[in-house]
Amino acid sequence: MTDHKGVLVYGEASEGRLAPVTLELLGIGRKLADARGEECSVVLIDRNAAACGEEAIAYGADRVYVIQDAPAEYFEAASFTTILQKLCTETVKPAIVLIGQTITGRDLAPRLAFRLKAGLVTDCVGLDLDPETKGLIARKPVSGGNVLGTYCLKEGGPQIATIRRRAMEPLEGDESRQGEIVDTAAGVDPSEVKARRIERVLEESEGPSIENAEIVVAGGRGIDTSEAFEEYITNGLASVLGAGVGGTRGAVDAGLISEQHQVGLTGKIVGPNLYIAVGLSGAIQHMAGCSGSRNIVAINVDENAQIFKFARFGIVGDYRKVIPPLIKKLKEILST
Amino acid sequence: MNIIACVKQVPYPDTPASAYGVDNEEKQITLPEDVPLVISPFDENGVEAGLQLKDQTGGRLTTISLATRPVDVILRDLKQTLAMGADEAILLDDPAFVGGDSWCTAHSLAKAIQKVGDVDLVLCGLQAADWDAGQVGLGIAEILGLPAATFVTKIEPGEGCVRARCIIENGYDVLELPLPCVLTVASDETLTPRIAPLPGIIKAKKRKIPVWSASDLDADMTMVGASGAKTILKELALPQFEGVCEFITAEELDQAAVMLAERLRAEKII
Repeated sequence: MTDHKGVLVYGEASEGRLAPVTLELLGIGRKLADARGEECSVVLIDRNAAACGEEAIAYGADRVYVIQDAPAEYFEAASFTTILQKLCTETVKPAIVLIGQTITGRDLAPRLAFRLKAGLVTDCVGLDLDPETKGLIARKPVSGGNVLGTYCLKEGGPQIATIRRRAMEPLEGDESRQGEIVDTAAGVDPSEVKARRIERVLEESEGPSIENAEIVVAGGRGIDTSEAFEEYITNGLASVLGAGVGGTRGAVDAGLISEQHQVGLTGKIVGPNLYIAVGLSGAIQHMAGCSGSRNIVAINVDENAQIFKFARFGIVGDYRKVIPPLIKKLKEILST
Repeated sequence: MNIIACVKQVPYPDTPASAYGVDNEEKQITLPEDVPLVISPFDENGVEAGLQLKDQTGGRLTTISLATRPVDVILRDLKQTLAMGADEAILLDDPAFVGGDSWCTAHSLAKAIQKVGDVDLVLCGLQAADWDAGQVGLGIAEILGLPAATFVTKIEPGEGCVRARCIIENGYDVLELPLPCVLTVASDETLTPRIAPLPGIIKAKKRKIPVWSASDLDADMTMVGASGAKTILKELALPQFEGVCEFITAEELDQAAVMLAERLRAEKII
């Protein structure tokens, strides 16, 4: 299978826009393809995918495979696996396949890898090429992020990696970039869909979505009560800053905040410009969800708390004494 | 319903970061000896899900583990699943398994599932807490050609099918899958593993757990161990913290708070 060339990105889109993780994958996919002197393609499997083709080209794709006739209207892992399998063995024959470490990506990538008998490294935070073989070298956190592992993958077929959100930088969008949009048939028999969706329940979340928020204020078990969490975090600091609200697993377990706000390895992954961490120790599992933040501010009574190792600014002190004057000053600053 | 739950042993997941070390000669993560090995949390949720289904529909639950840790510890944990209510436990152990990756583990487990025979449902944890790969459950499904669902937090038995509640980005889907199928289980408060009752513990202690080797499984030797692996671990490292924190200090905390707000504005962060 040495005729495998180039990078194929599995694209995700919603409401006519590419998902942020897809832009990030195009960024790294473009770099890897350039280093190999090959093309970077993206596949979009979506009834409305055509709308995203130009965007994908602006962000680095040479070729956009648009598939609008998948048997299910929504993401359906078994049939999507077959679609990708065909692209990998017939149409595109990529050397490298990049998939987001999203819920859909985590469902899709292992199926594809086993189907293709290909190597897969999941949840990567760094990708390089072996200088000699030009094969993938993938870096991923293991043991809940306490250790970083570096892997290479067996040669002779596509090498597959799923990439953690916010781990890669997208390119600047450039509308003058040239590329080709290719309408492609799914070529999947509807009988491949064995798992039938009978219900979808979407949860309403209060406030801005934390995954896309520019500012996130998060609290941990250092906040004593759910009333205090509401007063100081949700209706306090977060409200003044128009920020999303996050919490640690400990805060969720203690009933301080609902599960949909959980940030970390088993929760949401955020990467805001500003992450204000209040009364949280900075456990590695939590940091896995927010270490991509550009600026972390920590407020904690314990000067030895690990969160200060990640923070750019820190105040050692009781949040009840720090937050009210901070809110007052922020209001003043933000009104000018 | 004939159910299989696959379980793996991992170092206690809430072990503090400072306890971790790496051995790059052996390509191993090192931990102090007093860090216990436990069943990986999502796998334990899978065992609990299997027991709940067994309670509702009758049938059998078999737990299977592939030895990647000292065998006495795995036997102890497999006996724990018997004490919780599993009917049978099987250990897969062979020197040929050493050095394998997710690809190899899935192939050996798939062979074991075929050897058990007439299986309706395979439950695996979403991912194990040591290598965090999340490949084995879906790998088994692909190898055996079975339908699968991931991120499952609730399972309802039906006529020749199961209904699985699966987490999606902003809520959940309910999927109906025909049996046999594979489900990978995430955490949910309803899947908190039950405490094994004392009589169960006493009974489980006396049980002898069958050990299956690679040849018992009729395993394809090109699919197991280091020679079967599709991924090669090159290096392990402890993460380095980059940031240098600027502590904002003042006589009183409210002054420090004001200074923080000013710093954030000066740096154009707000």
